[in-house]
Amino acid sequence: MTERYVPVGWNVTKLVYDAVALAVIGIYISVFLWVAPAFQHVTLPLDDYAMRMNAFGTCAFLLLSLILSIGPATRLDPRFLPLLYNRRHLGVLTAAVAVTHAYAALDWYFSYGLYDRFEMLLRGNTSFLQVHGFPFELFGIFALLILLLLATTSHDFWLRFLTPRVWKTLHMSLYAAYLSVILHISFGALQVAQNPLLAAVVLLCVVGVAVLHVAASRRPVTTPITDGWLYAGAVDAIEEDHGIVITPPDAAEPIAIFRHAGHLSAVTNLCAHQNGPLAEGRVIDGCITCPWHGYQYRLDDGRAPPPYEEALATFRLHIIDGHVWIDPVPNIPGTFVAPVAVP
Amino acid sequence: MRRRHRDVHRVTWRVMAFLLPAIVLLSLMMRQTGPTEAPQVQLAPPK
Repeated sequence: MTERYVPVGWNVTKLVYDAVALAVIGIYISVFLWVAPAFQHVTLPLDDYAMRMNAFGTCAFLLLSLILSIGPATRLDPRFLPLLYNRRHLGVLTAAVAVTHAYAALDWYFSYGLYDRFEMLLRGNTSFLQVHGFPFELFGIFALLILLLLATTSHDFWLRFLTPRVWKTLHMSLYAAYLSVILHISFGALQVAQNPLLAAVVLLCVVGVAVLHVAASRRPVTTPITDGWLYAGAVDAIEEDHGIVITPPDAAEPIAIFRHAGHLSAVTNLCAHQNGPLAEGRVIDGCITCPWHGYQYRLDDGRAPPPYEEALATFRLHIIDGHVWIDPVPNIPGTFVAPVAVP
Repeated sequence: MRRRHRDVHRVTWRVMAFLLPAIVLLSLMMRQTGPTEAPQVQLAPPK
């Protein structure tokens, strides 16, 4: 929603968000390096380099689990929304931590070899037919490449260049990265870990993330069409300055209906920025406000207030005996539709 | 989120909900247990 290119549109919220994230990462790494030596097995002591590799590796895994939990947690409880606003910053930080882990691993395993470190990493282990000793590094490399790709394309420039649909599809590859990270840990660290704490933490994170996603992805109830009009429920079910979402029975996208100042308006539920769920947002200053990043749209024509140029598809609706009916055929984005007064 | 993305997301996590814990548990079950250290190499015959 910027009118000119800026690397990052810094504001106080973003600065605080990043400062807290950096502080938490720094504290975690420091505490890990301070506490972990006391828990290592007496027969397999680790030196400082290996400790550093483990500290950054576990930190990247925990951050990735956190990032994947933010979306579903927000859908289940809006109090997590502040974590969502700058989730991309957390993603970039995670990629940086993961790169540090990879660099430490390269140093630890291949510094004294006869061949190039990267060549040793890719060709040094070919034990593909056994669990213990499997070249788990390859899973880590795959996950790291995805994290770097997502971090590189996290800026709004790429969102506009690729279009929200392609960008979102690309960034769903984070799920593949998480699967790859789990394989990396399972075939690597878990095979040699002497302390059960790592296995417990990994299992807890994996189950937690999966349960959150399944719980938050309940299938929406589709609304039947009568004489070309969708039934959207009773007017009283829509709170002032809030929205509800209506899901048509065909493959059409969901529709958001908002109530503001005694009138109803309907627009697509997809924010023009990242396809965020507008009906989960609120009306602020007379504009629909996306819960994800605060993009705003006018209620009567779905247009972002000047100087911004985004526009949403609008829908016709009417009220009969206190019940709302909506025409599921979308208007061209930005088309004016007079809000309907609530009797 | 677009309907198609939401459907892909839903199916993906239904699969991952079983797959991820299964991978972790299987890997733990297949760990080498018992003594894994190599026997000490005798460099010279005892005197």
